[in-house]
Amino acid sequence: MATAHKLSIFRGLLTFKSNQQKIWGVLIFLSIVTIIEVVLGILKPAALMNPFLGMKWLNWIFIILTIIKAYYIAWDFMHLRDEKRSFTSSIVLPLLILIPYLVFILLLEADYIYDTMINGFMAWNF
Amino acid sequence: MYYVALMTFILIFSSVTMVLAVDAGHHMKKNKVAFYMLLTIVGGAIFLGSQAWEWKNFIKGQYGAVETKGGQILQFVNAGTGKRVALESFAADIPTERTQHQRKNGLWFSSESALPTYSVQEVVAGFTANESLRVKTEQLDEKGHKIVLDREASLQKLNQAVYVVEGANLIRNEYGNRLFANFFFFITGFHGFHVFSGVLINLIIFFNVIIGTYERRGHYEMVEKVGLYWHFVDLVWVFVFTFFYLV
Repeated sequence: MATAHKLSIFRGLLTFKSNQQKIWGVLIFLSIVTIIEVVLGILKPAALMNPFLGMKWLNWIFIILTIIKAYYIAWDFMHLRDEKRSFTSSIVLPLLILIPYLVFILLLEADYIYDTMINGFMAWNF
Repeated sequence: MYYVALMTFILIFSSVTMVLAVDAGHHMKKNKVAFYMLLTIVGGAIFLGSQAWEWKNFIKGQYGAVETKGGQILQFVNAGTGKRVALESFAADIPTERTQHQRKNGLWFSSESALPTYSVQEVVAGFTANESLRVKTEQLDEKGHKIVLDREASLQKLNQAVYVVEGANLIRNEYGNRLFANFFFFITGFHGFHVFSGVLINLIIFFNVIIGTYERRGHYEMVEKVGLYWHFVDLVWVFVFTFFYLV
């Protein structure tokens, strides 16, 4: 457990005076991101409904914003920011390798089942 | 959607009070730790209550639908407005002898779950009598909207109905694909269970803070540990929220 807190976020763009202030700052940031997500989810702008790499633009935005939120929860709330680089990597690297692998397997299997449903049956609904 | 967004904020906020409790623990401020832990527990409890309420609504259902022989869901919409119509607003009343099969009134070794409020015949008769109704299928058009059939096709499709579905559960789902209901209940259920155990662990640590266990021990590391668990639960919710409510 590190004793000193690193008080800068956004790559040093924003520096807080105390750890408590940083926590509130991160809360505000997470809230803003969540509000953006919710507004996009309610409006569903037509411009973002076009597919890109197999998914709607809107869904890509949702996933990217979610990963950004996850980063700040892990880095500031779970205080990974204050830990040694090697420790942080040992936590994050396995996830970065295993989760995309799991996603790959799930997408492959799901795609197969979907194709079977669309092409493999005489009728989709009988 | 709005309500789930509120739940998300509550959980993030309880995560923040947890960090503040950990921070107060570093400075050995017992009362502050206790106060923030209490706020965290309250936040977790509100979240759990909201989740239970949401589940109750989904299980009870809102409009009702019918299931076809092929296992697809047919929903009913008003042709003018395109809004969904509840079964109770149009289903006919056909008296029937059919009752729920229980051990006491049928074969002693078998029974069935509660019958839907309306029979398929009642729904079909009501639909035929009401000209303004249409059937909405699970199939999507090229823009990703569910296809609403015209009157003729609706009546024809309705011939395939075999079961009236009210609400969602692991077997049937009036809102759409049953696989989604399975995933939804499975994932939010597991997450809710983790929140529940998180609240319990938080409570234990909270009482330990109050009776001064960590004050005597000289450090508040236990608060930090339970805090990490709490953040993990919050982190999972961030993903659940995205993939089950937004996408």
